[in-house]
Amino acid sequence: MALLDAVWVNVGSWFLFVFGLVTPLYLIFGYIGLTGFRDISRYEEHHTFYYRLNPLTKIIFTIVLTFVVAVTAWSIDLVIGLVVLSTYLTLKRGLRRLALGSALVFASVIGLAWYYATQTPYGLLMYAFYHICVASVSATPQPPSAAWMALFTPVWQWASYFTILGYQPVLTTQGLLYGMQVSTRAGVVLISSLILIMTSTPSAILRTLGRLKLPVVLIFALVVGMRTVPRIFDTLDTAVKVQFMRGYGAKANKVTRVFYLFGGVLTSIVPAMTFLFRGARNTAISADTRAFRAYKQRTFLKPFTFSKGDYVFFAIIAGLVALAVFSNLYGFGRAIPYSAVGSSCGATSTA
Amino acid sequence: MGFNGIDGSLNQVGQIPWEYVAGYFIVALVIAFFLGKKTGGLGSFTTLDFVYIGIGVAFAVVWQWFIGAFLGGFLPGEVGQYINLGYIGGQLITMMVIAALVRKVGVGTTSFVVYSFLSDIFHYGFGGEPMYFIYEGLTYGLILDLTIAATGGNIFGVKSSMKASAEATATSGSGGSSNKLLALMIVEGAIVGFLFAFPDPIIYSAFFGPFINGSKVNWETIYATLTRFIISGIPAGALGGIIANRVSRAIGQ
Amino acid sequence: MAETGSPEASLANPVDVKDLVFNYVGVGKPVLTVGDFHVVDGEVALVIGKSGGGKSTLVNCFNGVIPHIFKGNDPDGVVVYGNAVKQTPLPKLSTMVGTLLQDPETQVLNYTVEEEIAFGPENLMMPPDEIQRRVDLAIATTGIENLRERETYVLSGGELQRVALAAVLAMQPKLLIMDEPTSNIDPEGTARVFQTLTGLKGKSTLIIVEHKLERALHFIDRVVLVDEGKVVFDIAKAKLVDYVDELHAAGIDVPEHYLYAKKFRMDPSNIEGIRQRIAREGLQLGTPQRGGGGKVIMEAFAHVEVQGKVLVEADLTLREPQMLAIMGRNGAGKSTFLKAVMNFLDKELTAKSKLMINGVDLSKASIQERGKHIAYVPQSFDLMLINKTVEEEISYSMRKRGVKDYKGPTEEFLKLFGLQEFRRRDPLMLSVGQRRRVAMAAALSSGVKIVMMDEPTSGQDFYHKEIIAKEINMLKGLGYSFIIVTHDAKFVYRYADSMLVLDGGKKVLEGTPEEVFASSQNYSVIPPTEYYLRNPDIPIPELGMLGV
Repeated sequence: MALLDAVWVNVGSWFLFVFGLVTPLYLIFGYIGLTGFRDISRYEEHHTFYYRLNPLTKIIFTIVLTFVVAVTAWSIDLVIGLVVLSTYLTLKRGLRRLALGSALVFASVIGLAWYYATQTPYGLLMYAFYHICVASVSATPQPPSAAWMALFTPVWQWASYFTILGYQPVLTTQGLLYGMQVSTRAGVVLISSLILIMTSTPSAILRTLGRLKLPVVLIFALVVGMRTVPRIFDTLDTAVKVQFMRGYGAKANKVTRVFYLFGGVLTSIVPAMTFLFRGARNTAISADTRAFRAYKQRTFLKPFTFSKGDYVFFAIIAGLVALAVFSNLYGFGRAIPYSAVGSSCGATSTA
Repeated sequence: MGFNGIDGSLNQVGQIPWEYVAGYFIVALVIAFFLGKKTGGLGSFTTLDFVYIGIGVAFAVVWQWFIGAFLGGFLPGEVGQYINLGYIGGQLITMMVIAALVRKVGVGTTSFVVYSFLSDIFHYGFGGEPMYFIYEGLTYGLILDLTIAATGGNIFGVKSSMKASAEATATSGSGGSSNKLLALMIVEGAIVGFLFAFPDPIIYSAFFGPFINGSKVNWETIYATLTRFIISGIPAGALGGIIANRVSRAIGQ
Repeated sequence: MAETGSPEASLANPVDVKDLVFNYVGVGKPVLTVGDFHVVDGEVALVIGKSGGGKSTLVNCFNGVIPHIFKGNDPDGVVVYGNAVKQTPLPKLSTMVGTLLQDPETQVLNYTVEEEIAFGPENLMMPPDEIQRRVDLAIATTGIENLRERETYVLSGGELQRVALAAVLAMQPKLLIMDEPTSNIDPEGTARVFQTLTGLKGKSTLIIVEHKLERALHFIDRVVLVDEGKVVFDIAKAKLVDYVDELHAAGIDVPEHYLYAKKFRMDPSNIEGIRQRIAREGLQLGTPQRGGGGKVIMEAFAHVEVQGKVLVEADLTLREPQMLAIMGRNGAGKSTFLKAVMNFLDKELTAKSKLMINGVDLSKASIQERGKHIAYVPQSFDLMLINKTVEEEISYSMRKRGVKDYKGPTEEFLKLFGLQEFRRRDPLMLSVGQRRRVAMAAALSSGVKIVMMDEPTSGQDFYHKEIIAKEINMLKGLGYSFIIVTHDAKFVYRYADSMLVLDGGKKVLEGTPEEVFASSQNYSVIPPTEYYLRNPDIPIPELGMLGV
């Protein structure tokens, strides 16, 4: 029986370990790939709702959303995230963008949640879940004491040597919740910020920043940066595939292919960088021979206006703020639920 | 109303007192202003310099958010804690390359401000600004600027290498770097890597962290992080010095 | 700051040069020495010369790139519309002199076409109405109304270059400098750029820098040959035919019909007349040698579609040792076809491909497996250079495939490409020509016998094209076969053994260049002048459309 238990613990631990490791990597490199990243990081012309909004509205939306998800329970964040993600269907090549966005967010959530769930020290979890208790009781229960057992809900006992990998001895429900909290926050912010870059031209975003009186040269560097990002993906894509043709990853199988892809990207960085930097002179001449920096500011061809759609969206943003306020009033604020704190703390005190 | 449980109390138990942090940023601002005044500030930058910053920062963003971001889980536990590939590739090495290409005081601060903006557009969605502009520009960025000022613009031995290459080409030599120059790249890079280890644990985790994440300041963790960042930052910085020198020589700046 | 020159200045010549000597920082020897040189209002001057001869340096002294961007000895003696270039700020110069460069990919900054064109007027702080007026005018002049709302990154090279031209025209400069404006783009794009420039004749002063005579010859007034940093000759176009020897000596590819124009004392732009005269005189012009080819070594078929729309359905057959050229207009599916053959395609494209090499079925093979049989040299060959030394770069492929004795073959490739003296050098630090040779050697060292090359002659001058051609011929002699995707009809006519033309993703023509060029005009593949000279029955298109 002891042997069976040992096998079960070892096999199970390794299965969970590989799951947490491989799932995000597969999604990132196997499913999305460099071309997927390129597709989800650039603007394409279209005429639906998001595309008609002023970029400033979308910037305000992401800032407010960042704030809202930071002060509400992760379950609410998840719902908000799913709703916003579903609006990807209105984008150009909506289905592909939805699939890519979902994969990216899922990879981010799994990757981050798994890290936080397995590696967050109990002391921090204690603080996150039972901060009132921690603040008021001097003796914080330590694992594997009974007091600790009463506070936490174990899910999986890792094989003992997993602590070498930085894992906590036991995976707990609280750890998973904490992981979900952190990762859903990051995921929702990612979803909303991608909307901004997929539906506004970089120059429109930068024009918006220009209206905020940022120095012309900073905006110029940003313009160059934004136009370079899709070119980097194209360049790396070619560089990596040429390496594959030359025999790199010749011994790879379906599982290890993803690691070779990563290795290929790493070795391609310097040549790709050099290649793109070599074109910098032309870009500078092109700008300077068109009166760049003639004045400290520039004028703009397109007027800076808010449409009816922007006002509708402002109403939605106001709704999100209201949601945050009500969530906090009704006990769904601050992500980690408060409700269990009193009783657990009480249990701890009597233990 | 509080934010992430901080409830507006600036000096949490264990946190670096806000007066110290404010003091650092005031001093940093004064240094930046003084250096800018002395060297002509952004006015001395050519358009080509801003193109380099734009392209370089695009690489930093791609590296940090699209390549390095998910690799924490790729490297197992302890190793992953030492080698933060997103940070090393995006914030350290790529920025060192830009500094080596431009070699003017102000490039560090400017690059990090542009980097913060671009990261916002791609990932953060402008949450937490303008804190990040100030924090990144006046910590990491200022370190690079001070290095340029200290080396008289010969950061990572780029100028010396170019001179050596030109002489080698004239005499049909190998055009490679001499051992002395290599040592210079490594030492300067290592110093930058060492200094880059400080801002995140000391200023971010021990001061800004509670505001952003609601986390508790744990000095044991901070010392451990600082140690790890120093241990990984020194070789990564040395490598960055070599890469920065190589790329800028290839571009011929 | 940004107003144009004073009334007196407007009476001055567009360019006046007196005793110009320029050298770059750190370079002792002057790269440019010019005594007296003038460009008068309304003329169209062609500046010609081989790469590195100083022609771009000369025009960079006019637009202010020297000394305001490229530093040197701060040259005196260059005056543009009465303004000394050295003392005039670049933004002011840019209202008088417009500059179009060779590579459209790096000179276009903005995301949409309209924003790109508005960039200059916006910098000049013009009111929105004026910006709009200029944008509309520039779009109308360049005929790109259909591109107005498009994103710049989805445009072809030819389209992008016309956008760049419109962006320059929006500055409304009186002098336009075109620095090899069509070297990197397809024939259709080239023809359209020159169509616009022809329309500007008489309205603006134009200086066109080119290493190919034929492109602009039909509408220029004057030809200036620059070589080794000096003006070799500066003559009216009509006299050019007397200077064929000087052109040859300077490494310029003199169009063949010029030799006959000189012989018959005819106007060189009258190609029809020249070829009729050749026929009447009974002159037998030599034709390029074509290899009939040995056995079939490669057969490929690809069907590519996206969301149900077929992008490519084509096949090819390659014999050894042949050079097979693939041509076709932009968007014809050439690159997609090659990518499908190599298993390079983006994930959103659905592809079915068949690939047989030397009787081995590789249809299901991975990129690595295909790479054992086919090498690929991309247009941006610099991306192949990932190693620290030339030697390591060449042996890379063998090492990755587990070849134990790679030193011998590495040595052979170093010797074959004349790279022995650079073996320990960092590939990234070499000159463009050397880097290209390293990339080629590195590609071949995989042990392949088939090489695919994407636009190998793009942006290259005659001298460097000849080097590439010699290299390919030498390698064919060693049993290598080539598939090249190109827009360069002259290169194909001179050196390819067979060719095929794609249009709308389908193979529409296949055969020897002689066979294919007979009807390729229907698919925007315009044969070079040399072909027309030898085929008097084929109608010659208008001069600006000639494949050069």
